[in-house]
Amino acid sequence: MKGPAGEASEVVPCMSVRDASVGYGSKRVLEHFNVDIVPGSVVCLLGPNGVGKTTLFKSILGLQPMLGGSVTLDGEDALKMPRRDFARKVAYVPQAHQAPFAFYVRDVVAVGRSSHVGMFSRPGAADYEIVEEVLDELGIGKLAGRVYTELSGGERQMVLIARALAQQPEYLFMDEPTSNLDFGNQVSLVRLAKELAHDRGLGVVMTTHNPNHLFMCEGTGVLILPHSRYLYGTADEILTDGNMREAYGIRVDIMDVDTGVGYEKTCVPVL
Amino acid sequence: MNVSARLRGRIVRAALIAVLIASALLSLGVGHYAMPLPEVFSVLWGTATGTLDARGQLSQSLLFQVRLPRIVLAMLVGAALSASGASYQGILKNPLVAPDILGVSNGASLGAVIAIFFGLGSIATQGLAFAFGLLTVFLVVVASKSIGRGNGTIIVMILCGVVMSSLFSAFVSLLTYLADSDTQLPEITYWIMGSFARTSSPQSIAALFLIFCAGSIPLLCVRWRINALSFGDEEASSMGVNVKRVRGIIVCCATLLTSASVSYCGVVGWVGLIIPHMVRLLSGPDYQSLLPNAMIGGAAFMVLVDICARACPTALPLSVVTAIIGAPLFLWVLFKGRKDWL
Repeated sequence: MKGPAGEASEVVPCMSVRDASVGYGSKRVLEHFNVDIVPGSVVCLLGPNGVGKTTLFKSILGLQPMLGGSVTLDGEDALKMPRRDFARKVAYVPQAHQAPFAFYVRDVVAVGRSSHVGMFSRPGAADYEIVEEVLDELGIGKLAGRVYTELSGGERQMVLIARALAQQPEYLFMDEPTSNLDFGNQVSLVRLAKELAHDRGLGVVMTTHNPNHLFMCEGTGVLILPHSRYLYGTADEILTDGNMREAYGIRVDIMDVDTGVGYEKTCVPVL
Repeated sequence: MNVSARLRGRIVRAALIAVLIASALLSLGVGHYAMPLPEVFSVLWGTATGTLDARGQLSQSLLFQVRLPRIVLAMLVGAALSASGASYQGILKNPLVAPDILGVSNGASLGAVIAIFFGLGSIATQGLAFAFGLLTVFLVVVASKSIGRGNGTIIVMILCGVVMSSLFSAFVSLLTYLADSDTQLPEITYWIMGSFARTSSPQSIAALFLIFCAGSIPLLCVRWRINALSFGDEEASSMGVNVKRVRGIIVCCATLLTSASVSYCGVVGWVGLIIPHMVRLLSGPDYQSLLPNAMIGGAAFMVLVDICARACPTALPLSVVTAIIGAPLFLWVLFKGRKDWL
């Protein structure tokens, strides 16, 4: 798009959080927080329990009121956007949970089409086609006819990711997606996050309790420290012995591990 | 919805419609003046072709002026209670919720009992019951909003409903205690336990039908959104659902339906709880098929309950019959059902 004077005024696609203050009521948990989420990359949000990761997450997503600051989505004020428009750009993956009713997986994923289906209308054949496509892409097409409440935690987490992708968003927020998963599924999930960013061009944000996920996904990291401080940068920049001690109060060694095909960095807690 | 799920929903719907029609025909023949089915058919045929003898005309007036309005009333009430029960279960994320969770029944009872106590007549009884039912839910919503400071959460709403319900039920008890035991008490008791005996004039049925449409059509329109709401407000909102608006529509419509039902035939328990539950077992929890199927099932169940109530030597109160049928049925459903639904 060109401005009247011919100068380029193209909006760079980006979700920017500026000077955000989040908390409950008058209690501010985290203040003056800034982050940019760029399509095609992964942002890992790390930090000890109680520093406000979840609160920050929900505030950015507009699920609870922000106490100050702004969120802009491709140049627009995201906090004033109708939920429907916001949901077409930003999807949220909650932690795997139990649903109150025994929906088929297909119907759970179809709910992700809500922002594309009129208020008084119901999903059509095209919507269900998108549902099947998303399930196939994630390699869980065979779950479509299964009952959601009878799936394992890992399968339920994948279904919730499928539901978010059915929204056809540009940004994907995942709240501790690895917390209920076994060791193998955790690694698969981090790989999936990376693929969604690099192959599908999504801006992926995930919270995690495992700092190694940041090394693995090769993205940027945000390490939230107590007392409203945070660090922003690549894995090598923020995952240092000193920072980890400050964040978690324990001694952590950062080591290079020879995997045979190269060196991988990893955090090793020292007891 | 996959093909097999959709097909299953349709088969269940067809079966429920068949049950509804069969029970309605059966109901036409049951009562003090019993008519075997062939006679019912011959009167219906005679009416359609205009060939009725004197005895046939007597039967005709019985069928069309007494029994048919009553059957229609039973259908509307069953469908209304079932629809609002199913909707509340969805938005409150709990399959064990009844349509009067927010206090409609006790509010409406208070309205009716006040009218009976002061001898205001039957139309005022209905009107006051309806108004008090709506008023109760209005108070519950206002109270929960002010407690939750604009973000009335579901749990606050349910608690306010419980509180308001108990309060109104205390007033009902008080008036029952003070009521004249010869004239007013039987009427109050009868009203609180539910009955189709009083209000069956075509005009009043037509009025109920209009309220029924006003309440159920918007519910049917937004029914797919209830799927999203059953995952909780935050998830629904993150998927682009205008949670406040959809929930508002559902609470308004469900309240309208329940309040109207209670004002016509008193408090009828169990229907709104078990019918959606059973239909969920038959054709799944997707509200696209659940809501219409639950309405048809509720209508059929209510007609059957009315048959039982009338077939007894002394006409039984509806709530007694629904409980006697409903409680064992519910236990059976729980026994057969998937445990993780609870």
